[in-house]
Amino acid sequence: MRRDDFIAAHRELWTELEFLLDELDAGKDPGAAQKLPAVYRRVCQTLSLARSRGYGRELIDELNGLVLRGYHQLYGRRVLVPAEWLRYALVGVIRQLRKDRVLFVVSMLLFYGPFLLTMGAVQIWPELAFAIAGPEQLASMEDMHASGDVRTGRESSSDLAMFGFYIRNNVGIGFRTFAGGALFGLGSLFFLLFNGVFLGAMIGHVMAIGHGAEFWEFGIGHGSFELTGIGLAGYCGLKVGLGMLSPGRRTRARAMFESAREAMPVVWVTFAMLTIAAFIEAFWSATGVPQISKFLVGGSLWLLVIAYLGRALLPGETR
Amino acid sequence: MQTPPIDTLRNTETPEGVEVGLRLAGSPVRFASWLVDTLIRTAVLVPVGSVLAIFGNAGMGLFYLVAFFGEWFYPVVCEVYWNGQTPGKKLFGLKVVRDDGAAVDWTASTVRNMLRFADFLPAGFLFGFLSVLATEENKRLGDLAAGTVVIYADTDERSALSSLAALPNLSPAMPPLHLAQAEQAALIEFAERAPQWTEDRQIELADQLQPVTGELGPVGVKRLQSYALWLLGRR
Repeated sequence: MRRDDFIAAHRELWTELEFLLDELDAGKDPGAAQKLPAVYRRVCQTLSLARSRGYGRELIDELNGLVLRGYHQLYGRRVLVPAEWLRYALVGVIRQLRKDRVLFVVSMLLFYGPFLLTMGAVQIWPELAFAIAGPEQLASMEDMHASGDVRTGRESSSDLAMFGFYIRNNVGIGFRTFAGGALFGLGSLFFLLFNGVFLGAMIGHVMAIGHGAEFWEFGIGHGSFELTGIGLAGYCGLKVGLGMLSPGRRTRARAMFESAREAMPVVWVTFAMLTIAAFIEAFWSATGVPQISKFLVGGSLWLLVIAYLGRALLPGETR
Repeated sequence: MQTPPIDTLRNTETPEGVEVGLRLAGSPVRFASWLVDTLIRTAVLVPVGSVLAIFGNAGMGLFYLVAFFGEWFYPVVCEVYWNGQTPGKKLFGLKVVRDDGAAVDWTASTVRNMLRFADFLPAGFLFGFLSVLATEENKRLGDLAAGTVVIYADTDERSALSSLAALPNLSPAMPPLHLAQAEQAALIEFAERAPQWTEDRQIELADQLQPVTGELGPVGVKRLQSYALWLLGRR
């Protein structure tokens, strides 16, 4: 068959596919979705024919584009079923961490280790805090907790301001810690250690000058979610980095891709934990609620986080 | 190891058993599209910020939330719900797809957009740029981890099938000798693409076939186009 006859014989089919795709792109006509597969497959066949018969670049390009659009429309998933997604994240995170127990524990130690060590070291050598954090940062930390501001409560409007600020700042730190994993894990390692040491120094400093009780009254509520969230973000990044460093029998790119996919439930849970932390920090931690309630609630939240993630250390299903 | 291909066309096979070609995009156009997206984001944030500033502290809080969303999720939502295109990509005719040409899902899009932070380091997308140069499929670090490629989506633009009739209006002529299929394809492609070149270039190419056409200059070009028309089935 000559090209012109071929075009004449199939023009209608191509126009139909194009019409269906336009409809679907515009989000119209549920009927189009039903007709698409059959029409698309026939166009696939015409592309194969056009190629093997050498009908010229222009026709092949045209059909290639049509098939690509059809393929794009037919395959690939953009539906988000909330219940399914929640299960994927909440159950998936435990399965993933359980499968990867060692890296999970190492990531947590890489953050909590320097955090606690620095906090302790500052108690013994208080001047150490100044070697790590700048004097202005320490001064503002002192102001905030020594003045008792955080105990008397803020206006509700500034609660909302703080919520936005914490989200942007703290969740941003978490995401960057994950992203740093793409540099052979070095970025994540840096953020884990840096945040551990820096936060340890700031908090240690407040404790060293005798305001530890005030600080922890404020910090205990959101600390569980925020600190653990940073550790989890580190896990996700290190996972990607380890995939690049030791891909096993896969190519490095493939290993990186698979690691990132596996880490995704953990990324979502990290995001959720940091968001919850920002919420608690903005609307609860600085209210005028009696100290004892803050410690009780904060303590329970720590137990909750430990009980939830601790399941990853127990034997159980991994897939 | 296979020799790397010399052009930016990648073939991928669909489950229907047909090969489709993906035309990969390079760094400059992708940077330009990122720049447009950044400008759009700024252009939205500035007025939103000044309106929200009226509401004092609460407004500031909302502004931070909008800024956070813009930084991390604006490209994700665009790519997932808008056929793999952010406004910047749409402007430059680019689109993100999975390695096999399928639409990006939430996971792929989130990974590639979060990892943009690593691509940006140490400054001005240096790592991302190096990664694009080093990988055959022009992938930045985020694309490697997400399993995505950025391709040209230009086929949507050219209204399909209309350009097929754009061949010059000549009388078809039978080639003087039998042509193999690849030779036929080359002649057809010459005829299709000739209008995009200068006349000098058309003549330069056609002159090489002087033994076949027996002509030089513009007449040779016309002769080749006549052969192509005949091969296409015009009589």
